Amino acid sequence: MLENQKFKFITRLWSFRSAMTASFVLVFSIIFPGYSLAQVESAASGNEWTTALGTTQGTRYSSLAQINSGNVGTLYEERVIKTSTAGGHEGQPLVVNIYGNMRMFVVTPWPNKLIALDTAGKTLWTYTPDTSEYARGVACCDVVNRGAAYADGKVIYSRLDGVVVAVNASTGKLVWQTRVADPKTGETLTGAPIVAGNKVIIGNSGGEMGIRGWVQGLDLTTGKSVWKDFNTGPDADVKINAANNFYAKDKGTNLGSTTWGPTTIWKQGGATTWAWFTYDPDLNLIFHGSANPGVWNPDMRPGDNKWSASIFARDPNTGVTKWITQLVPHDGWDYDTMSESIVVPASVPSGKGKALMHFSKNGYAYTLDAWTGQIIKADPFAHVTWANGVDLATGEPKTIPEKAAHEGVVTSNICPSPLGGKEFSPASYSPATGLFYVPGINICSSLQPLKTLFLAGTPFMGADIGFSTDIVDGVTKSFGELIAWNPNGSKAWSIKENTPLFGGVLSTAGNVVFYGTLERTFKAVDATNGKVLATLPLECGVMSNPITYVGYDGKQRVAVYTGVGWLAGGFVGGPCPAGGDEDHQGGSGAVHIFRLP
Amino acid sequence: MSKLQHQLKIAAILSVLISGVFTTFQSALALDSAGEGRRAWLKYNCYGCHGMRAGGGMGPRLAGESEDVLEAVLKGEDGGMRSYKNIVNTTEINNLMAYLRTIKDPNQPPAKSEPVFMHWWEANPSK
Repeated sequence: MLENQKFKFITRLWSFRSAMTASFVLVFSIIFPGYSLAQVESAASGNEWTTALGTTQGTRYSSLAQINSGNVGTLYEERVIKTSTAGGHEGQPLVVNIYGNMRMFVVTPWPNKLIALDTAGKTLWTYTPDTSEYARGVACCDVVNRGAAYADGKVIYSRLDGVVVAVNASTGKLVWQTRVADPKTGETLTGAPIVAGNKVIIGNSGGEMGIRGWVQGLDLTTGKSVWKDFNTGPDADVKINAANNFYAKDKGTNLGSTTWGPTTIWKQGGATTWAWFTYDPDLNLIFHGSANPGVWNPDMRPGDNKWSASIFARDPNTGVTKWITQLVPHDGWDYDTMSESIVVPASVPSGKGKALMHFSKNGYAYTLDAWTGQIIKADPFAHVTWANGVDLATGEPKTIPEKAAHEGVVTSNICPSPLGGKEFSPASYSPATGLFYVPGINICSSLQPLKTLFLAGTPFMGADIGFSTDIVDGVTKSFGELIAWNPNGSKAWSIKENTPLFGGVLSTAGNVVFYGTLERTFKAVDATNGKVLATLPLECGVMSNPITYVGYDGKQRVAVYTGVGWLAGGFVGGPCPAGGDEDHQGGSGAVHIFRLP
Repeated sequence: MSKLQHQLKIAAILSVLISGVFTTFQSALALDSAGEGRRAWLKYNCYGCHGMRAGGGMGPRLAGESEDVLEAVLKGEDGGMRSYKNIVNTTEINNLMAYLRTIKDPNQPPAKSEPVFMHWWEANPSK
């Protein structure tokens, strides 16, 4: 009875704190050279973690500060919960207050089970969908899932085999499911949805399989598709009036189909949206990128190949595209623009007070006016050899002709590599320090494009890839690097890592930054100066994104997945934990939960 | 003069056509079975899943495999591979198997018997 009363008290406390922190904001603004300061609000998560990137603006910043730079050195592992699922564990759990009860929701890699836990780690229920095995074989880069979103009593996520599901967060019963993709064509779903108003926004994966990228808005209540926009093709398919785009290079009619040469290869043009969305309620716009153009052989698709490697702003209710800015025309280096575009308060030319910060695979840190798509700044945060900067007047990268890839020719020392200066793992923005924290990768590559036939449902690649070390001024860079990035376009500090960082970053009001490594460690560092404050050993590496929340006892927790699949496992001697099947999959991944003593 | 030009034009066209036919014919016979298997490996995008030298990737390792490949190519695989029944012929499948048998260890330098060219679209691949 006493325990029950205590629990009720704690849940009331939880409810109060949730309500409080849900409205918590920080007043902070970024100042860019030439623009004046504007005081606007910056988003932070609180007791809960209800959307993949912590906030719809994608900040991955928490207002929680019980765990702080003064005490994080005593952090210890409270609990490990196996997912009983093999493969790379990307993404992150959700933690939601369900009628006063705190629940953690874990989406596994294929077969995409949804596990509901109480905060003592007890499994309450598991929703096990009948996810097609076929999808496993057409997922280019491991059978991953980047997480779920919570809204209206439902946990919503994508299955690898092309079905979006909404599950009752209390009962574990299916509320609705909608098939939006067919794995037989090479299409899969790996990205995290976002909820914007009463729409669930999703995108497809499989750009290496000769498919065509799209984004859809589903009705939150019924799951029915309300709108579907393609990322390539005629304006009607893209739902764009390109005259509204900021740059002259992006204006014109039907550029999504006329910039691919004389063929209809844009129908196999990739440009998928396979990772993240962000959403700003004030502007009522969603922001996302598009992947590299397919086929990899650029000589088979002469032209700018719009709208691949681009950033989009779209109306979440109608899908109408407000603007598109293409970052890499005629990409020949696999420079997906799928990294998250973090919405941050800033004084921008449009006067709307919101900028996007996008750390691109191509190695540049872009700051864009969120209302217009104008590029305000673009500075290299990684070693870049394919371009000599970005012309802010035209929006065009200053590409270096010698690094252009051509059919049958080996082009070497292309930096960044197809792994990017930053991969899918999301960055974080702390309004407290004013810094962005970026999981960086320092690897270069050689590429040899190959002539390719399109055979539906098979890889439409057309390239041989070799990876090489990244050498600058005779010094070999570390494969991984946590970068603290100052919005003025410079590194504030960085931490070298022996392996590429495939896991995301979390920053908190406690002046702590958290991230994991493939080398089986979880780290906490001082957000201001980068001093490593805690290094905790794990049984397996991390390619997921830490979260933080408050437990049933009112104490702050930090959680992260372990589990490394075949692709990232190539850097650390194979998948882990070991013991999986012979098809290069590791054993079960796990959720690790940390707390203070 | 005009007639001569016309005849020359026809001769030129015939020359190109014959050359094309010859190239096609030569292409079919240009390499030994393992070499043509390597060509098929690249042409039909097998490397996209199974690796440039069949060491595995998003699909399983196939280096050194043989009979299982025949069935998989014809019927497809539940684990995510389409059937190539209407795309490749028996000779090409046999060539594929011959090629895979030449790969001893994809993680080691190739033996002399293992074809490693990339330019599959050339009759006699230059690289």
